[in-house]
Amino acid sequence: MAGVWIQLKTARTIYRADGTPENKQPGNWVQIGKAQAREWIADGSACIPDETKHRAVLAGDLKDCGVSVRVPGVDAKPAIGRYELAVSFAGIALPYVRTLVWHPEYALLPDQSAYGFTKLEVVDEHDTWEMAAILTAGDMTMGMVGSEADRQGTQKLIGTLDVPVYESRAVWLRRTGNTEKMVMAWAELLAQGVGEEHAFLRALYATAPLTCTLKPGWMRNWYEEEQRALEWKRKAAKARKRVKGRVVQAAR
Amino acid sequence: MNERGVCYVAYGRKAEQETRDAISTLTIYHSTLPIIVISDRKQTWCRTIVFEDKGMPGRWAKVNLYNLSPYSQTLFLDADTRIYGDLSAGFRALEAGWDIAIVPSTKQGNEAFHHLGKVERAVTLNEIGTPLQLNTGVMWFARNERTEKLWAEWRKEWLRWKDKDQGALHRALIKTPARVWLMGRAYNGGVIVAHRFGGCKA
Repeated sequence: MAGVWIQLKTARTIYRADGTPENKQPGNWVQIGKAQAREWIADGSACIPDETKHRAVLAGDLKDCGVSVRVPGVDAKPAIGRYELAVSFAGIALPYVRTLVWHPEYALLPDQSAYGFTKLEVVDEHDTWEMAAILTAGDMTMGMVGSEADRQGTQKLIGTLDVPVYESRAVWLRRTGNTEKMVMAWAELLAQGVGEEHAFLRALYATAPLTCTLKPGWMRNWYEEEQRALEWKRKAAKARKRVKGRVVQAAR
Repeated sequence: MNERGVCYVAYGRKAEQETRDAISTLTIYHSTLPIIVISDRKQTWCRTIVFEDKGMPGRWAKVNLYNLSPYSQTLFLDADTRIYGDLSAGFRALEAGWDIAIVPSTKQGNEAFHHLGKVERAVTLNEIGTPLQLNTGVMWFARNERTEKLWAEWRKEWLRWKDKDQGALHRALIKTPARVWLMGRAYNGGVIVAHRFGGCKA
């Protein structure tokens, strides 16, 4: 199957065209579909050593993209690295065609910031997402967050609190009529003192933008996987030494 | 056209019995919601739409739900679901402007598309990666231009392997995005809608 060549940083399973799984190890080069390649680069389990190609594959064209930081004066460099992204302190607003509305409390690596924008790319004649937002991990629901007043307000609007919680501190939006209404409603609810999660969810519910929801833990496994891969390498190296020792002893 | 109603799909005696049991729980909480069952033969115990089957049982009907449902707002329920609470929040989301209300699957990340045939799985991962998995066993949807397009694309995708429907839905959603409102686990495999996954298999 045609695809993109990436180098693995952690162990991964890939699938041949006939569906047969192949286990690949850190350092292996694999050819996989662009969507999956982007996911693996964004979650840190793969890379393309050529920096220019890495950025081109992961992020595509970012010329109309920028970050709107919600806390004035905070350095956005840790979240954007060498990606050429405009930065402003407009808060919850859409100063760019594609905007990452970001609160520095939520740690984002540069590849992850860039990856979110790809969900808002306009592809040929297909309709496309207006917003990309992340679900929080686990089966957290709105009944578990916010104050009693927040929960009551959300219950009144939506009719239930059994809805998942979004991570509102990193949200990518394409500027459209819908998303402009959404951010206005969001900012207004926060200004009224509604809690973070409830303000976002109520604004989302009321304006219904085309939302691509990113799965929970979409970037969380990077460090753990890397440690597991290193551990595997250490054990494999020890096992090889043991075998070598036994062979040498047998030869004597 | 009725405003709101519920659709089940029942092909085969086991699914028919499961559907009867499912409906008996639904009517406790929603006694006035009209119900229709899509099946390969007319049922005596409920309103039926007779529709040919194709491929994996019941899936062809599911990917034709848009055309088959007589309601402007439909709640589709798998036959192996049992209702223990109020389902109006899903309809409310449709009133608020959402096209579909649905629950994320319990299987995410590395378990994505685990239930697909191996070739379909490989191709799906290659084409779309691992988006948030959605479980199609409980779905509210509104009739509009977007859902009409989505169902047409879903049908087209399902016809590639004529097997399970969820992989096809995810591939279709990438091409024809819809306004998808997420409901919590309580509504599919939880305290409001219990789901005996695989309960209809013969």
